[in-house]
Amino acid sequence: MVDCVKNEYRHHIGSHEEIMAMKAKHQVLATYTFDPTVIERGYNNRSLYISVGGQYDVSEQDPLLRKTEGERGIVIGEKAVTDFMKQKFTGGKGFDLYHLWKAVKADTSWNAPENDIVISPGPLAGITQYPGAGKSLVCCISPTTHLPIDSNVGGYFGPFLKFAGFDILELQGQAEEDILIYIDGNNHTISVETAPEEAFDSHILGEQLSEMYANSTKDKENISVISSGRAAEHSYIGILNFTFWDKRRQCIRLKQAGRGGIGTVFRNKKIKAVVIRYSGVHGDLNNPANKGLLNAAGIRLHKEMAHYDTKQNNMRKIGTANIIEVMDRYDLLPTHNYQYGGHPETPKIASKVFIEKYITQNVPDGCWYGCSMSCAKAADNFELRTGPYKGQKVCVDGPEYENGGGLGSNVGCFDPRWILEANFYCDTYGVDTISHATMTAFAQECYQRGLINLDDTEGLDLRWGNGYALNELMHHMVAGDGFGMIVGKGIRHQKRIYAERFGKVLPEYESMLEGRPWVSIKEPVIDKPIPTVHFNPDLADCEYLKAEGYDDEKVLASIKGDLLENAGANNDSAYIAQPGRWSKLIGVPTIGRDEITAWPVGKPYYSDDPDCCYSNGRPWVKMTPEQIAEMEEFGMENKGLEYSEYLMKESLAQQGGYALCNKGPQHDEAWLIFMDMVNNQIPTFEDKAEALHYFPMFRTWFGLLGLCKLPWNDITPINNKYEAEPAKIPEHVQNYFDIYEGVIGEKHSEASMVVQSERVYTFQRIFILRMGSGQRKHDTPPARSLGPITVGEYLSREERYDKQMKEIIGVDPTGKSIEEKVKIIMAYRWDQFEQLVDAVYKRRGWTPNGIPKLEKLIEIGMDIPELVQTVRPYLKQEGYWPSGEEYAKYDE
Amino acid sequence: MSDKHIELNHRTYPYREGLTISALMQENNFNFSHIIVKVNGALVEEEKWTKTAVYAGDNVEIIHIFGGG
Ligand code: SF4
Repeated sequence: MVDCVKNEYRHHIGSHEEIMAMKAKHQVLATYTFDPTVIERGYNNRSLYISVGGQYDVSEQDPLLRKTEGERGIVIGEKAVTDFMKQKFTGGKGFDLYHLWKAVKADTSWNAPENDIVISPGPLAGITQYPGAGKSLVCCISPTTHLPIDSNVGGYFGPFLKFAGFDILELQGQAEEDILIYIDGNNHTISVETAPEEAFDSHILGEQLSEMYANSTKDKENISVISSGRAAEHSYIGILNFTFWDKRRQCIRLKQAGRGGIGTVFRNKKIKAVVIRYSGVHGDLNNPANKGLLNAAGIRLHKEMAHYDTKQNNMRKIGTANIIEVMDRYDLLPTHNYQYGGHPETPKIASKVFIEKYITQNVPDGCWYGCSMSCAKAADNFELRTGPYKGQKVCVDGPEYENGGGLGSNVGCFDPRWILEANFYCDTYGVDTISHATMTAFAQECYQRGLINLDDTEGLDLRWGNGYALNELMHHMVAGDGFGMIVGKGIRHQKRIYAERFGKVLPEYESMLEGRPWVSIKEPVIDKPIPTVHFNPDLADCEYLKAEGYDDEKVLASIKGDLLENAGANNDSAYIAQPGRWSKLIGVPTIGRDEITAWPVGKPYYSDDPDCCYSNGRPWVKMTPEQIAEMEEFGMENKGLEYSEYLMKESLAQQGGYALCNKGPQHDEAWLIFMDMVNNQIPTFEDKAEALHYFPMFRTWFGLLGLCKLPWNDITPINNKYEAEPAKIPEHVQNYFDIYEGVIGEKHSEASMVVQSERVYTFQRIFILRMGSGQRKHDTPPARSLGPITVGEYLSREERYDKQMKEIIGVDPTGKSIEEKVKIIMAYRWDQFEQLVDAVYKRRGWTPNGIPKLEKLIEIGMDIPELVQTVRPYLKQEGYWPSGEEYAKYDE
Repeated sequence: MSDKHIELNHRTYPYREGLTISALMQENNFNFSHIIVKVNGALVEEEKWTKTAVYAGDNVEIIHIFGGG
């Protein structure tokens, strides 16, 4: 038993009586009773639909078989899961995308009521015999990409939903006030209730709702809660947390559906939480066709875990963070906004440090029953140093690799305590760790290149490694404070805002600023370890500040307090400076949003832009085209989603794996860096294209079935070395086909698996096409993802780049300046990338513009009318519409 | 300086007298925990890496088994 840390924040959670008093404040807006079902070979054959209110067109959606209408436009009902859906979409992500397609139109915005959050656990989800079978897939239209996003998540919710009687949960509409949804899987009832008093932060809310809906402490293991957190109110990177009850720690644990801002959509619908209760879990609830196959595969993998995990990846000791130092050694650990692949200080954040100092050992941390990989590790009794829970000891879920690579090296922070602190707040505030890290790194690089300054950041000194300022940035983001709010909307948004507002005033317009009554920050006010604070006396004279309630003594005292407490805590020098404040300048005009494009560069202006979320009173100034182009090169996003935390620039296949990913650059479609860069197993464009076909299809398959990908390749059978294609781990692939047959009752093979995934993958490609993306131009990566764009980056691998220039490009680097060499290398790499894209599109059956061909749709059985209609104009325009009698019927 | 070579992961690599699998791994910083080694298509078990000599013209594959996050 691990010490329960909850007493530290018990006062936030409240006593049982206080929590029941909160429940008494709920107003029930709708209730629904459903019939029990028996799962047949993995499927209930029905889905649960809930609209939380609001007006929108449902004419395209599948009909509700039964429904009840509650107050304020709330609808609860059921839809059929048809044979057509099972055949074409399998389950999980496939079902999600199917419903999302029907719910939205081509111009549906993320915050429209028709945007649909769809959650589906997949037909294999819930088995307990084989590790990693508790995953749910979640989809909706993303606030950052405006495209369908998918994200997978552990925790107990998905399996409980299925055992309660539903293969899918759809959440549509927009409530008028904060509500929660309660699904009682044993009594077969659902209610939608107002939830005015519960907390927002997930580590508190999860506890409150587990206490509220469990019959006893033991019964908490039958509760799972979906929540978001405060960050979703002001940022586009809100996540969904799915809880499971940790009986050894006696507290809730959090698993995240992290990418693409699904939590932001959840809160936009004013859903505070979805709670499910299901009691009676056992291994056969899926009514599997052949339990023997399940058991045999499970036993094989459990034995491997027991014998080889400590010799291989140490997943049971540290989880995915085991690779922090591996990535560093192989030049793959993203460092300082993906400039470099490692850092001399990485040993400070190596997995060993977390194992020895922070992560509780010898606790089976599985996020679903039966997972002997048990990688959902936690740092217990971790004391926070910033934010609303400062001084309290908490249980931090993690760190996962992305915390080390993102919140650590990529932002230059090599202090495990700051990483864990940010990890905790990301989770409880509901922030996507990966996007947060990558977009913070972007802001940091802009700051360090002088594209933005301390005035723009409102006093946050964004030098690499300034852990204190970086955590403060997150608190600002969550509170909806100026600069934090800009960062929290993602890199694409940052680029636009910086370009419109944070340019430099050109000399000819300087006179417009004359007589300005503000305090501008040129240098950080405070430096470590200076115990006395250099405080700008001008600040106290500023009437504007006083009117805003700023009191220099108070501010000084609080900064001093933080400083003293944190002195010596980090490796870098600066903390946080006092923000500058401006009064409105009479000589600067106010213009409309549509006038900004034509407004001169470098000339101050104010805007009446309703999107203006940032106002410290300073006029805006547009950047030069050169500055804007500079940001495009190192802003690590594609399709509006931030890159995940692997350095891809020395692996062409991985550059493609990221940029061609339908939802944006997330590595869960393909991770080919070792195969490509180190092993050189896929040397030709065709080899890479084949890998970029097989692996994305295989990985898609996990998301259709409700499986966790980690037990596939984070443990390897001892005989794998004798296999012809060891990278595929064929014995484990066979295990998956066995458990598929064990549950569904149908034999499966590599070929049938690939087709199953291709159907959904191709559907998703056409979906993003429908939403305005999905063409070749949208698969273009930022330059930095392809190679060195600065002198520093070139010099960090000079020998390698010089060799490549000489031996592969055929240019002698002798006598060339680094700038010239950067140009030569980058021109070559852009050309390579384009050739790769050609090869991949061809292998996938797409046109050179990235449009799936009609012949491909027919081949995989996806020649369904809506899809054909979507691709037809593109195919015709590009000259790829096939001729011949057999295609005539598609031309109607 | 020898002009003889081996193939290492399908790339030309300089050969020298006394080269072993372990030496190759060290020189290339191949220190991942899960690696398969083949010389001319034949598997070399881990316990033999230090003693297995590599000869000019050999085709050596040092395959890292890691499919990523
Ligand atoms: S391997 Fe880890 S993430 Fe996957 S199911 Fe098991 S505990 Fe959860």
